[in-house]
Amino acid sequence: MIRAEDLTYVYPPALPDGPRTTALDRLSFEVPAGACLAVTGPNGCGKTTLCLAVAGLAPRLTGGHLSGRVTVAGRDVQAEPPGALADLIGIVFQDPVGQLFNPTVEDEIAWGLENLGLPPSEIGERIEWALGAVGLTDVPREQPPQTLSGGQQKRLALAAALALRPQVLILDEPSGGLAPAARAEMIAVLRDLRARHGLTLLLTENDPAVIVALADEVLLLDGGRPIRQARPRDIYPALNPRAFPGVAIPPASRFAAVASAGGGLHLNCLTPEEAIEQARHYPLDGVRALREDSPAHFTGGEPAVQLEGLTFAYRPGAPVLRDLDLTIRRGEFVVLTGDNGAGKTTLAKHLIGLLRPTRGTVRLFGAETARRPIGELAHLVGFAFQNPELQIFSPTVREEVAFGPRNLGVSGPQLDRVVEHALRRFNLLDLADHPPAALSFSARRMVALASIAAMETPILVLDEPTVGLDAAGQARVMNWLEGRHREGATVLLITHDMELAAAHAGRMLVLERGEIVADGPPRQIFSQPDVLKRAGLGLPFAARFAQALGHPALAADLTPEGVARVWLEALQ
Amino acid sequence: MTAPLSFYSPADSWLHRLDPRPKLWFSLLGVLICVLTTRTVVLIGVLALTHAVLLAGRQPPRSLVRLWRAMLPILVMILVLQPLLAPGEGPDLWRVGPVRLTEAGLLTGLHYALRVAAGAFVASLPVMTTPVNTLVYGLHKAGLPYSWGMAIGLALRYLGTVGELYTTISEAQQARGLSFSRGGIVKRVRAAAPTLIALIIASLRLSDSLALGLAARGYGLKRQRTYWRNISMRPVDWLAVAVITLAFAGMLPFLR
Repeated sequence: MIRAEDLTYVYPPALPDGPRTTALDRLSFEVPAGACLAVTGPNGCGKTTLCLAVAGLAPRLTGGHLSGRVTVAGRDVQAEPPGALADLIGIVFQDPVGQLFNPTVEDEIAWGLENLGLPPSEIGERIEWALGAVGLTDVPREQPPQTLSGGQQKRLALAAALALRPQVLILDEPSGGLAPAARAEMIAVLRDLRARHGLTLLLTENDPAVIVALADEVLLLDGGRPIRQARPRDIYPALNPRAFPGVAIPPASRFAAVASAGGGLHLNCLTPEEAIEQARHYPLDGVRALREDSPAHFTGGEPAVQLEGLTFAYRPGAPVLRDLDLTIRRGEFVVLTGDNGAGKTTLAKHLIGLLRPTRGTVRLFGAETARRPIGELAHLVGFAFQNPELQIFSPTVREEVAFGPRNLGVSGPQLDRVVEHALRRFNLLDLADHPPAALSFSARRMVALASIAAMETPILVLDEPTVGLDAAGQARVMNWLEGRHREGATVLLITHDMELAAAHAGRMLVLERGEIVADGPPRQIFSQPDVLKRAGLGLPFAARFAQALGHPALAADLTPEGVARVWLEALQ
Repeated sequence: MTAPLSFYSPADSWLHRLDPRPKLWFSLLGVLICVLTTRTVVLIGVLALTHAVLLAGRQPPRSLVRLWRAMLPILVMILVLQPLLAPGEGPDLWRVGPVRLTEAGLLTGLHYALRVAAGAFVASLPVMTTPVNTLVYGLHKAGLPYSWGMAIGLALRYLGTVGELYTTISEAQQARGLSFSRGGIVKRVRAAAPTLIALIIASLRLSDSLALGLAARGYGLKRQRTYWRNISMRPVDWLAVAVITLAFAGMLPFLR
């Protein structure tokens, strides 16, 4: 259905005398009708460019130069005017904001059908069908799309593309930025579409769980070059994480790799279900000898953050945070998690005074924050918003990183030192004199985080800093946070990535509709799957594995590698 | 999450059900009157009429308050600056050096402020009482190319998004120690520059992704476009056109 032959895509230099960027490099592949190909690889590997080129939107609307040939259902996509392929190829982009431009849910779906010139009666039928196909029949038709949740927005964008009845659907990061419950819904919808309507899918994805659930084959790209194309089962177990640090490997495969290497077992699994099934064949013996004693919950340090009876409402009568009491001590590494819209960001904004409590108090190191200006609180709290790469503006990376500390009154050699340190930490020394606006997405994210790091505050609050980053970028961010934590900083990390929380949290907070419904060390939190499920979250691999085998104590180490080692020790 | 900026307030009333064309006709004539008249009392009349129509059409009063509040800075600026910059004839009410205040100047300031307010209200009436897509279709049926109406619709839709983006960027920079409240006016303007630069870069990225989003769903196809929400002029809509025309024609003798 899709055939790409020898695609090479070159972008003009981002700077007048800079180098040209080769986004795709002699890439050929084929997707048979009804099949699903997932394209994966590190940030900047050319995934998005590939989507746009196959949809016939690039290079016409994006600039750059494409050679080679793409045909979809036998039609040369580059030979057709933009828009002419709308009823053959549907495309759903990463960010819904540029795709939802109509005032209501039903107008959003109708709009493309109006462009095709369909009669109103048929438009009405297709709206019904498309909303049903993506599971949005419960949403009020008159609701403005931008007021839907993140997951619903993505599914509405999908419905708007589906309504045109394309034969091919291109999805750029369909699960990107979604909380576990919303991601599971997206996977279910896409599986159902394939099964019922025989759609041909081309998707790009960073999350291996989504790839494993949907794709027949995986195409691994690196620097625009095709590295390998094979079934997920053939690609992941053989993938060397050191050779491809930017590619995330399914937790079950990581588990199997350690179990196979360390115990001489032959496990081959991609999903938690498979790992559990295969592990059941090996009887456990020494579970009583397991380390039941978890490292003592960190309790030292004076209170760094104290919330007392914190209630906040944007509008009277609709509180987003309800009567929260919370103490975070100096030196804690806290992961705050919860579904989209649970109030995580609202809570975080109180710590730096961007929002002030409707009722209750916020204290930092014992002193109340009420009426203290944000500029003063910025000495104590380094706060990284979601998508911080959208908030940078300086002519060079170095100036961007210096902006925060300079505002805090740091100057001279001291300023040079903190800037240099932050640039090195995020591997930005080579880019120090570049304009950040011309850098790639992941480099801009690193610049934004480095500019927070350079403020060297005793408290760090980060709102989803790893969303959209590849495995290598995530590791860099987490290394920085772990480093600051070892130096004594207090960290509050907001994420709905359960593997990340399991691997790094000293303490977890689960927020559900403005209330803290669970608070404790990760092992304790993950022993309450019902609470997590109600909050729209899930379990990391290790906890799921240990509970399924009936020995929760197996999850003494909450990483896939860790649970594999503990499990091997417990085998007969 | 803050509520997104939205001009349209859904309500079930004769005004909301009216075809968009009579409402656009009301705006067109109303704005013309506001521009042409030299008499403050006419502007007050237009304002009063628009408020009466909106309230009779079950438009929520708080949406009117919101529009007044949004205009307030501009109105205050006109009220203060106009009399001082163009004092006009007559005895001084107050004088410091070359700066003087006269009754004529104050009245001119009031006149201009009311003209802006009245113009804003008559122009907002269709937007407040009609879903954007219906309005765009109305503009198209009234003879405007679809792409013009679409451009207006997109501008209305993304005004709120850009506004939210501005708030977020400004908050992020305050969190990095940027202070807007200290220093003189030059310092404050300089402090705003980073926010505006970041906003412009982010808006450009937004418009790029919007161009892709539009093309991907068949925008600009050379096919005959259809419209799902059909609108048609019923007798009551023609009656509205007649009433509007008569009402504004009735004001003509009093314009000057």
